[in-house]
Amino acid sequence: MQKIMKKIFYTIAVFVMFFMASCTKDGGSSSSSADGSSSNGSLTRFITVGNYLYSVDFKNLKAYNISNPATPVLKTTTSVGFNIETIFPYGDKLFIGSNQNMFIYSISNPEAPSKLSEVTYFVRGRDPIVVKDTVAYSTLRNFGTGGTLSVFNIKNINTPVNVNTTFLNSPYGLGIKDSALYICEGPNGLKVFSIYKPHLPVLKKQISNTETFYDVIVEDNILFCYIKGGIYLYDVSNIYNPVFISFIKN
Amino acid sequence: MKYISISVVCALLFGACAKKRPSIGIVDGYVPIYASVAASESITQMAPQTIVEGGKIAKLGRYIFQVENNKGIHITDVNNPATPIKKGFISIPMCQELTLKGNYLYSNNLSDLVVLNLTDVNAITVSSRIKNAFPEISLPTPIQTNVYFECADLSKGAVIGWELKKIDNPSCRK
Repeated sequence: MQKIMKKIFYTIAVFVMFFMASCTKDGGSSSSSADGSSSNGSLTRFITVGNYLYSVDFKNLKAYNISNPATPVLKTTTSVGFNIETIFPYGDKLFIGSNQNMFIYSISNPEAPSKLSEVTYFVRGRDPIVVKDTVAYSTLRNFGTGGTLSVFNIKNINTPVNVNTTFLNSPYGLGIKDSALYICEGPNGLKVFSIYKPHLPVLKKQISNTETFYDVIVEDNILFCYIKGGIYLYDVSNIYNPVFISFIKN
Repeated sequence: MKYISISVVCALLFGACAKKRPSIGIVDGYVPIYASVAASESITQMAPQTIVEGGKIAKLGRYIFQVENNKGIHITDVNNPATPIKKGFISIPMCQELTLKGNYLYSNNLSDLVVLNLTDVNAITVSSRIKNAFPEISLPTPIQTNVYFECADLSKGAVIGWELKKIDNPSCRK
């Protein structure tokens, strides 16, 4: 009897652990690990979703079938726009940033992405995008004159609405964990915003030192910061208060 | 139509200016490092290297990968975040991008898409290559901005890097 109880206990324990593991990955990270894809920073031009590899170059979005991961097969080349720099997957959508636009593509047919909508910014800059639920966050860095964080309501995916603009110093990449939005500010460090009210980011903390902060990946409770000279690791158990853990350099 | 005419006139004006620009003399500028096709496509595994011009990152499983701009990819084991362990470096000429799925890493070597098999991180192999998949990604210009450089001449080989030198009246700038 005891043996059976033990067996049941272990079965439940394994089940619970499996369930917890599958939940730890945050929706704001660039890719989902459920399909074996890596988490990428928001500045990436390459991503994988399911059996497809998507890349953006200066003007084209390419979809490669990687059912055989060792030998990608090019399926479609879609002309998106000019000065394309970033791609971010969220569910069956791709968010593509150029220096003047945010493009949203559907990959419900993964082999042939189709355009749903686009937003044109008034100013030119750089343009990584991250998404959580029905809100997209995009930073724009204007050369020489600072930059902004733009918040878009994408509840209606066909007509994104700019609901908020926050001024920043020199923004690059960004990432989300729960209700924390981490924005790299180049030589001005890292800023932590609360997006508890998704349309109203509130600055909670700024970390700055001599390094130049470019992009982030958040996995579980670890924030990986890509800086010019390597990678900083922070503990973000308290999402609004990153605590330095280690530094990858030499 | 009006705008097109104006653009054409502007383009002509600028073009003319660029040609007649007075000599700027000897300045600091970047000079292309050329390599043979074989050398520019050589992907090799090396011991861990210092991160100098750190680039984009990707994380999968216990490893985090960081591009060394134009040179390759650093692999670090972060299973214990308090003590990351550098595992090695993959030399990939003009590498700037990366993403992974399962045991495979997708990156660019110049303008080619390359797929690396990471099943054994101590014995990484090249699985496949798609030539010229990203014609615009590896534009032969230095990564730095607001600099002078010697315009690349692809008849001399593939550009696998840039070195800072004193150059006389360079005609390229970005």
